[in-house]
Amino acid sequence: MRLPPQPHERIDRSQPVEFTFSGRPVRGFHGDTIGSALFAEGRRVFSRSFKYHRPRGLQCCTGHCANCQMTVDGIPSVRVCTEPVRAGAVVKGQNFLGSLDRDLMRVTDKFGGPFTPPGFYYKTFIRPRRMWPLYEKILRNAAGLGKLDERGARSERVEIEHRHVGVVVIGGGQAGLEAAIEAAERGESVIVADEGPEVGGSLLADRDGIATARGLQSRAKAAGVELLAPAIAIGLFEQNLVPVAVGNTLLKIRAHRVVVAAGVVEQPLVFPGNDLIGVMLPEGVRRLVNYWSIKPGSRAVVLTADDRGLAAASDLEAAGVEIVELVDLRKRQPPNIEASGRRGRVDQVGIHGKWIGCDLVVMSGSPQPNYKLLAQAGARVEYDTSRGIFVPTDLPPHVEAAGGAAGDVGEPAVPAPVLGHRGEKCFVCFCEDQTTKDLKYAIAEGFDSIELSKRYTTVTMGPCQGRLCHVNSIRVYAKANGVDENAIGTTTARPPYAPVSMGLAASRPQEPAKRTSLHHRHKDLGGKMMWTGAWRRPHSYSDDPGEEAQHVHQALGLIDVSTLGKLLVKGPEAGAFLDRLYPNRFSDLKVGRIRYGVLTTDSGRIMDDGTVARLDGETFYVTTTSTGADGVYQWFTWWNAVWHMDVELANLTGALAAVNVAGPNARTVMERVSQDDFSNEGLGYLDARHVRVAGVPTLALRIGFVGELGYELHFPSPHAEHVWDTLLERGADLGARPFGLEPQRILRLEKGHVIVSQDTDSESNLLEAAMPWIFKADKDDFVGKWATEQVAERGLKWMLAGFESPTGKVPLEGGQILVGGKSSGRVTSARRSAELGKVIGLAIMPVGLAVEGGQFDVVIDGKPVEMRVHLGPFFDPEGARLKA
Amino acid sequence: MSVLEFLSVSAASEGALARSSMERAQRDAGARFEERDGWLVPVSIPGEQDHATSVGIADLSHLSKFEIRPALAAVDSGEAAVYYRISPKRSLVIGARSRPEGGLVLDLTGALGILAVVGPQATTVIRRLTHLHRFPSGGEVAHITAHVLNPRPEAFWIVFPQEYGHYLWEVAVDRAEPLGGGPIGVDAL
Repeated sequence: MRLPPQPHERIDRSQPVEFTFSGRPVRGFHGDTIGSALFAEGRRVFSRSFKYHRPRGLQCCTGHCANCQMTVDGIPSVRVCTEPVRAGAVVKGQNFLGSLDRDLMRVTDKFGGPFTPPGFYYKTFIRPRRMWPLYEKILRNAAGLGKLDERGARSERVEIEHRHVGVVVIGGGQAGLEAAIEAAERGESVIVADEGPEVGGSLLADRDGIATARGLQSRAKAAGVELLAPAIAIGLFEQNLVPVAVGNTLLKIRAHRVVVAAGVVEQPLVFPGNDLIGVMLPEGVRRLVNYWSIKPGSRAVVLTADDRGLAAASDLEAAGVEIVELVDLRKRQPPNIEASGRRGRVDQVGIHGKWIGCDLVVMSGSPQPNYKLLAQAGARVEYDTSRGIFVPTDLPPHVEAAGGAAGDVGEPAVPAPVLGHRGEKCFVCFCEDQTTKDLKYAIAEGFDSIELSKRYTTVTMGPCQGRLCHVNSIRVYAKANGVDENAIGTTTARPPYAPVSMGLAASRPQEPAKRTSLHHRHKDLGGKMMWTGAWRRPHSYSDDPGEEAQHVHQALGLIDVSTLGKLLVKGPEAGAFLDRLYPNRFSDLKVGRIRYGVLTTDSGRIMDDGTVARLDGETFYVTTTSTGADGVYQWFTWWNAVWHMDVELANLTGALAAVNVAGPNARTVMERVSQDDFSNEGLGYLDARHVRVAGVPTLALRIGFVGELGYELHFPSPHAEHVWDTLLERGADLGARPFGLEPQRILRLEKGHVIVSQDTDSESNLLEAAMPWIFKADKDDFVGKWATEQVAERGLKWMLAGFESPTGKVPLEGGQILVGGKSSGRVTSARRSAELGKVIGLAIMPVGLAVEGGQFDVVIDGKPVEMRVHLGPFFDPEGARLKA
Repeated sequence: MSVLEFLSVSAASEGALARSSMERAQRDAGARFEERDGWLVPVSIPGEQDHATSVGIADLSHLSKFEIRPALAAVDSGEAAVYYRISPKRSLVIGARSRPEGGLVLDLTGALGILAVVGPQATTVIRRLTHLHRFPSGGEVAHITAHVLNPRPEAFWIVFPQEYGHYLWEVAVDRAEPLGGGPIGVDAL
């Protein structure tokens, strides 16, 4: 029931908020949580326990326990004790059969015990094995938390923000705020993150502490402290990285110092009936009274090991609750305590045989310092036997603890691990429904180490993640084994500290993609775009790539090759540098000439290929494959660092667009777009010239990957559309058309030109890739020389060679070559050539097979199909068209 | 013609108009363009006045960019150019009206794009794009390698490989919009 308005209450009674629970309207106020609003309207059963389906009610009101988990707007397992009310929210209970108040599965509480000991699913429901799928279905439906709505996918925007500060303080209670103010007044930049609705911590639940909290907030703001609440630190990682979830934003905070002032976690007492509705922790009671002005009961029994219980008793009295019994465990520890009730609600407490009628029990064990984040950072914890708590020690550098988290909790009593042994079930782990009996059972079965027992009983593995059960479970184990708590130890604390949505952890999707400066032209012209590495490139512009390829042979084609790697190698030792890197020579390359080059690794494996043009005595222009550009640039810079040669390197890949103009009409169109000499004498095969194309300074390379007369034009990227448009326009009557990657593949295959990483792999070497002419053994040492010599010395085993398919069937790339029925190599490339009227390809085969007319089979559609070896180019073997 | 003149955007003769890699995205946003110094420059974009009160995203790719090796000690302040010492071996001069003098001078005007992030919420957008927090510096920005300069308060320039232009524009505008920001033309800077 609501108390009359109080000056310090957090609700605004002038702003009602309505939502529904199980289809019925519920009215709360702005400032309420869903839990407090439901409680104010008389709801006491908030959930059903995991295994026994016992009714559970509000216990902590701080978001630690699992008692109030409900499904809110389709999201399961929301802790409604901390979830602010919002208009129109649809709230439902979970984990019941029938209704939350009358759950038919309650029978497991009455009869299930003997059938559901710890690890029962390894025993009771293990045979016959074939029945496990059915058992699993039954068990999953019988026990659990909320259910995901399979049709409830939703999209939320998340942000990630990087922050750098001097100090981050985790916990905005008194100790945290004082530490923050001190640091800020010293000139450090400070962020305070608190998981509560505002900073102030437990001061806010204290009628006399609220003014202190407000004063500290003002001082902090005046000092320039950034206060974040609600904000949850989800971990404490290396180099003081503290990710903090603030709504839908994840702040990745890096700080010079981290102060953990996360306070304490109130601990339940272990006695029979300690899970009954109406048995609560002090903070839960104080928040009901002071935050939300709710009277939680009429007659209260208080059992406390410290001042927290006394403070709760004082607040209850001020709210008109009769304190019928107060047991301060520092003064006396009754040998036996038990609570009992009807329909799951407490109605009396027995203290050493004396029964006291009540509807509310406040239990307060030793307040446990909230050390989890410190433990994640590497701190140790030690059990303080005089106070019954684990205290952090050996903090890592630049990590500090303050207030309750550091162990500053006064001198609480150390309650007996178990305060009663008869009557109702006596819970150690409320989340997983594990009782003292269950823990003793596990110990008797041999699971006496804390890590083993945790995995067997699942204690600490529920929603509270050990906040309310870890210490008590250790104390029970210690007593049962006759050892002290330090010998038992604690389990490993791991992030996240609190549940975090997968979306927030994953961040906003952003996948970098590279586009050439002609990207939109390709789309305008109907190009079908595809990924090649990080680039988007046109596969083709029509439904018939074969025809697109033929058009290049017959007239004129343009292809965007801007993705090619382009490296500048410049300096007095540039030629010598390239000689050391490549198997062939470049220092003797004349100015204005181009040479094909293949790069090999130290172990003689082919890593990339391209062309090298000499621009002047000290300047070379190197092209690489599209996907190899960055790797080759790294390779060059690494070796330059090793050799300390007088060479400058620059990666110009994105600086320059490149267009290949190919076909019988290529020269004609070039003469229309440039005043430079494109005749065979002016720009012969393998010449490089500085020209102007459509007014744009251009490096023209007379090379031909596609086997026709061709010019590869390199010019500044911002002018790409202008040059491309001019070429298409001036070449319109010559049949100028774009062609894509697929026609290019056909064209180059007709010439037998290799594509590195398509026709080669990580084991390919120059000799077995049919490129012995590249390898200049008479050169001084170069990268890969020794390894390639070893290949020659041991003899060739494989060979990359061409083949034709007499039947016209196209083998799959990667298809196995069969010789005598045995796998002996593979197809690397295969296409149908409209120009040649046949199916052609390249394959890696045994060296003895690589002779003109050699035969092998490839399995196509389950049957071996004959192929015939063809050596050399399939099209224009003399290169007459190329060199026209 | 110098051996590296084929790198030079400005060496093109009249009729050849240079375009930024973000041009199409800005056109889709309704930008108005003008020809300036051989470039098609987005001078205004609808909504920019509102965007600028929070955070504006603008394309400054038309500014000249020269890399000089080894790094210059300083730049003539009369140039009104922005100078960024990348390392002892490399420096970048942005916005110079003429080609700077130095050891090896590479004209990277066409190689690099520049995205300006300006306004009261500029810092927030930068924090949502990169972990870099001291400027100028280079590193990962929205999963690509870039440099971030801070030429004046509430103004950041992201200098990046131009082939990522459309991608970075999309990401930056996406980060700006929830803050009430968005694209602006260069005349709104």
